[in-house]
Amino acid sequence: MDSVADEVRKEVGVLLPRLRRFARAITRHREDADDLVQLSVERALTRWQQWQPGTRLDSWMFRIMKNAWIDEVRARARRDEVLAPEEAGEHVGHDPADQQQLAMDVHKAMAQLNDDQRLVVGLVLVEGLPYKEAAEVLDIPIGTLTSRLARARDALQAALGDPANGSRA
Amino acid sequence: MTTNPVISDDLLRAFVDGELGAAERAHIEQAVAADPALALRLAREQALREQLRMAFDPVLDEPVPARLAEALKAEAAVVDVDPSRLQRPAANDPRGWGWPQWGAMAACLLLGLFGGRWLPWPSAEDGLPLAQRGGAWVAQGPLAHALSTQLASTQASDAPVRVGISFLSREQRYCRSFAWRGDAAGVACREGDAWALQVWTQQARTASPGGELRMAATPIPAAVLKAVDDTIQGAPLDAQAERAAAARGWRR
Repeated sequence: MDSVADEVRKEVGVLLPRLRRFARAITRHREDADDLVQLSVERALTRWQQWQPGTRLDSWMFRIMKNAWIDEVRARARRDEVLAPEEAGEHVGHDPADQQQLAMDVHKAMAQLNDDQRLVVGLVLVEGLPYKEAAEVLDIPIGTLTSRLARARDALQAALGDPANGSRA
Repeated sequence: MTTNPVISDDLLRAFVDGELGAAERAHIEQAVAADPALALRLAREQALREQLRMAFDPVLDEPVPARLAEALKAEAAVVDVDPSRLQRPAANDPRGWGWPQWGAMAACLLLGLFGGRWLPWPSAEDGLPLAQRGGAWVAQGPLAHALSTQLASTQASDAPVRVGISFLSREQRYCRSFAWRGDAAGVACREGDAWALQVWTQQARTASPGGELRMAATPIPAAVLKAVDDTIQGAPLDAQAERAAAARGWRR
């Protein structure tokens, strides 16, 4: 057994909770999120040779997930499948009651973004990747990344109201 | 209220995202301290990040589904086509993933145990560790022996049968996932003194340029993982519970 393959397997295992969080941010359906993680793990294990030791494994995994997700989104478009956004509550796990409403609002606001916007929000605002790293994951210039991110933020803030003022849209 | 024209939204957001150098950070901190309107804009940006954190961070504390942990255990495979995806009933499940774009090949023979109908076995390969008993397929020979005696926590890495996880089904039967000689996998549940197969998948073998046989897909295919997820009650057995169940002959 190759030691790099073992390392990838081990590190991906450590990353699983984050991969699930990212998947939850970019998909609109809870079931899709874990399907996406599973497919991406399977792809990663077949392509571990493509990962360069010394580079960020999380970025590499996010890139695999992004590609898998785009494949799926395109496939759905081809099938002319129109999915209604899920009820926001479906995304909510076992949050305490006071957080639940907020989480539902956020999921609802995320569902209104387009896929490109959800990807940048997922990478930068949820997973905390630096702009440069996120731009590389998405294969886009940093300027494109920041403008997408700005539009996504505008949309999220419009949907969520202004919590700094204590009001909610 | 005035807004600080020097500090653009982009700059403020880069500040919140930790993208600025020390000098720019200090400049913005000073400006925020002197300008309540700017401080409000900053608070709004910070609040959005906080809202996202509160909405998504709880995922980190959720238990990872068994099928994801299982997917990680699979040996590195040479082809990343997972034919069992093709068999997911997309029409019945509008949210299911159809994956038709990966339908380049279907190397997997899936015996439709759940559907109650068996597909004919295409090639009577010698040494198949299965036998038909009373309309059901049960493990026999080395597979049955391994399922009864082999512990996932202590098994040899080159054992012909690799037990994946052991778990209790919703019918309160002990079930175990396994890989057989690296090209088949399945889930079997204890019924009386036998291991009844819930699902069995076999992958086509393809000869590599070097002539050796290589697997066409991962040894724990999605069909098996799905069978686990569909039948499992609670979490898989840990090493101690697995040992105890084996000692009881896999009876409740």
